[in-house]
Amino acid sequence: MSFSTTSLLAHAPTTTDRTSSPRTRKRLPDLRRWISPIALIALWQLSSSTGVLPPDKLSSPWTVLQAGLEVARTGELGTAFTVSLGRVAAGFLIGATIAVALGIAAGLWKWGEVLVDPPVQMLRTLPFLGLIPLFILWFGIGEEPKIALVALGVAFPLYLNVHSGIRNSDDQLIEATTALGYTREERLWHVILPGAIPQTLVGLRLSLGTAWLALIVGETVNADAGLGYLITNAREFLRTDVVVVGLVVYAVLGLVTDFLVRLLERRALRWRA
Amino acid sequence: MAGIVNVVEIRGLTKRFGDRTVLENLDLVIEPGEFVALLGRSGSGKSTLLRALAGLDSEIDGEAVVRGTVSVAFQQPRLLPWRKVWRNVVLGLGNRSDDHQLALRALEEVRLAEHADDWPRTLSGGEAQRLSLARALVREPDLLLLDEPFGALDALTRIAMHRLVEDLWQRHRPGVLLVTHDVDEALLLADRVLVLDEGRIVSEQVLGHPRPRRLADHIDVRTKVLGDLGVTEDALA
Repeated sequence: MSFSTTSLLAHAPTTTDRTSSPRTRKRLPDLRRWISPIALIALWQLSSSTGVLPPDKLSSPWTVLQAGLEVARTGELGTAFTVSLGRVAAGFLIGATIAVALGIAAGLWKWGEVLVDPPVQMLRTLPFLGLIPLFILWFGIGEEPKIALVALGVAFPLYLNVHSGIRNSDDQLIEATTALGYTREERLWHVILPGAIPQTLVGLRLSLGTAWLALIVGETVNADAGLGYLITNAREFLRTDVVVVGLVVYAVLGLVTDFLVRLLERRALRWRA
Repeated sequence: MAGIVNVVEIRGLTKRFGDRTVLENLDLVIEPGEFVALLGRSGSGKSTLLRALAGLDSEIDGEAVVRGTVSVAFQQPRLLPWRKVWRNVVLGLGNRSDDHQLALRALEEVRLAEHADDWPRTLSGGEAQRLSLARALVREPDLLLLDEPFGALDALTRIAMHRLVEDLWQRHRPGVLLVTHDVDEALLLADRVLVLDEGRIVSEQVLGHPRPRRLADHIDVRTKVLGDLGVTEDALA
């Protein structure tokens, strides 16, 4: 069930790329694009109402909406939401710090490249979600394995993009600024690091997508709190309506983080527009 | 002329890439405030010489002394796209409190002051090249290296740039080495025109006429220089 949500999250960065230049495309949204989604929901509702789609397989949209309001009112949703968000935030901070530090080290220094890059390139071929059994053995079943999983999922795409962003800095600019008497430090701050920002933001978007994926998997395998717990618990009682509510919240969170990164891009890449 | 220290003194400069000798035992002196044009066909070694003077190439044989500050403007403006126009002018000068004013004055000279707070991508090709000149001159260089700075511009913009460069040179009086393949440009701007061929300086013409120059006064030199570059009268007819 969680796969439909995760693929939505994974695709979010690519589908939004085309509309990321807000100033050039400020026309009204095409209302025709709403026809088929609304028709699909209507069809779903109709199938549920006529009994074609039994509620123990999938609840009707109306029931899902009611269930959503109910778990929101009892506070279950809020608590689960906070717990899950906290996990992603902690994992992201840890993973991003490590990735940026290693990416800069490998990008700037020959020895950094020689020592850091080979093991990272080897480890990144590991399907990181497959590490869950090991993580449970190492960290138990508390918060640590989930945070570690998120951190790991964040670290690889971010490292790769920071590293290549710095490696691919513009030789012509480096040469020009050298000839104009920039110090090493000035070259770093005004040429190399700003030049790596576009690629770093690509990495950031990818890594946030992976962060949610890692969280969902981590929480679904074992949890006693959070959105994953809400979903697993609902499954025990055949509450497909609550399951769908959890999935929708995951999707919304994914979209919100993607939106935040796009805001950040708009600000950081104003010079490109 | 005693007491004048040359800004460039090159003796026996040789540069090899593997088996290929790009510059061979080259001598060149540039006096303070002197405008020297270096002509040559593609692959004659002129860009290599400029890179050596800019300090971008340390693997050379022989002696290449540059006294004072060096500054460069390249064929492509090579601006930092993520820094505002005025910051592009003064970045690299170190931390100084008056850098904004300094930038505005330099931009004023190349008539770009109203673009001070714009992003470089909003500039036209000619404007970007003017910014590149302002950035080079704000360093008050003793030696200004110009690496085909008008090569990528359209003909009309190029004419305006020639006047601007001459004007800026007269005001700031740096020694200039202009690398170009445009003979007319060299004749309009330079005190001395050198022709580089296969790593050696094969001819030297001193132009004494007052400025602004007219090409019509230099037809003989033009023919001679073109000949040195391998363009004969037959080809011109």
